[in-house]
Amino acid sequence: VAVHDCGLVVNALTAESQVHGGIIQGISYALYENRILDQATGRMVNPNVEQYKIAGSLDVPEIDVTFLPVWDGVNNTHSVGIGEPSTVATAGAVANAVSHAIGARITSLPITPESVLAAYDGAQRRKAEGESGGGGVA
Amino acid sequence: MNTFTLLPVLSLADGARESARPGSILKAGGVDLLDRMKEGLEKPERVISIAHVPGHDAIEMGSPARIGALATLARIDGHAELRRLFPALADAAGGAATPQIRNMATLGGNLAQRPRCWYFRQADFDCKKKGGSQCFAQDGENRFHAIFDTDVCCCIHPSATATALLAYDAKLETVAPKGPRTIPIEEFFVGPKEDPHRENRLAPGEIIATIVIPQPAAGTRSVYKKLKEKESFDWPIVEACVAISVAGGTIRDARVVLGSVSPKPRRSREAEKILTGARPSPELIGRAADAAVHGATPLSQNAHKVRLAKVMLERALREALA
Repeated sequence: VAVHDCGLVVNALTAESQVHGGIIQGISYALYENRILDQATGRMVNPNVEQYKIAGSLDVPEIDVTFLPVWDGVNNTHSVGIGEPSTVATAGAVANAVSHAIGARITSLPITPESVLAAYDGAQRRKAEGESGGGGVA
Repeated sequence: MNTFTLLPVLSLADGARESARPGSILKAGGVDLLDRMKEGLEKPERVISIAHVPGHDAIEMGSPARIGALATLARIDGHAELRRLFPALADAAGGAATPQIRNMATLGGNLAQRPRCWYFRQADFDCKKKGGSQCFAQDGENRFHAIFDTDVCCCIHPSATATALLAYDAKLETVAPKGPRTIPIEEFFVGPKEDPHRENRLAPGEIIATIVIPQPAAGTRSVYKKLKEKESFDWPIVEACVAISVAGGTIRDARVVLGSVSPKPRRSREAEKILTGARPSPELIGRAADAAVHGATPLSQNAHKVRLAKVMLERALREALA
């Protein structure tokens, strides 16, 4: 569910489509996109669409867009852009959902199986230490 | 890409003879070959295409089952009788790559494709597999690399169908200028210790003609599982495949294979030993999965793959024994 305020919606279909695109790109930003550099040479090791991952059709969820035009854009169209805002919010929303599911924060993107496991293990360890009285409250 | 002559042939014997000549390379679906040519890893003068050789894409579900090496992954995925008897092979084929690629990619090509290691795939890295002296992944970016047999070249074998065919104890019939032969799939793959420059035993001009799979014992259940980062078009992080027959509440026979964990698809005899003759239980599944990843030597960035391999194998075993 994406709720956005871009002022006056001039064309409902294209505005919604813009948010769809932003969300799909936001999912890639949250979960997939990663420019991986070889530490020894500085060369990018994944300079192709096979290994530089972006969301494909099967990775796209159902998207429900609502516009709440409250803000009156400070220009004569009463509208503002909606391209980037939908991308930015999506990564945060995905990270919040992961955090809610595993009980630990992940503070770097992309969120991968590896980083989820590491964050989950860290949370379990802190919990165990807390229960045994070894450590303070995190 | 370099310029080359495309030579379509109409029989595998012609393909074998022509592709054995210097400067020639064999093409079936062309999926992996064209990738390698675009990256400048292969510069053949002649591309010998067997894509349209008639009769070698048939799927015959007799005992044993015989699958022509030119059968596409899409057809293997969509073949109802094959899916009923060999669901792990159908799932491995149907879960690979994308629908477009599965419509082109052949089973033979899937088995003979070269690794996707990102150092191997870039011409600028003169890695061991390309005849250089160094494996760049060992101390480099290795999150997707091997967790077993990592000491020479730590690439992983990319074939999903190989993982399944190893569980089914398949045999490969080949044709070559020297004549036909049959290679059990377990002996087909070559690890980097033996020779880092190739991944299988095919000689120059030798072509996989048919994949032969014995009829599974009554009551055999097989499962293929894999974990990917995304659902569309992604290579697996780990794969697990099991084929298990149970009779009278006891496991009679078990084949356990892990994929994407080593330079060759990895059969775990240790896990099979634990399962065979035992009665299924959650404790048994855990012990078998532990045994399958025992002795792993993960690299600097991929220790998580050990755990994920164990989890995928447990899931496969649970489903097969449910």
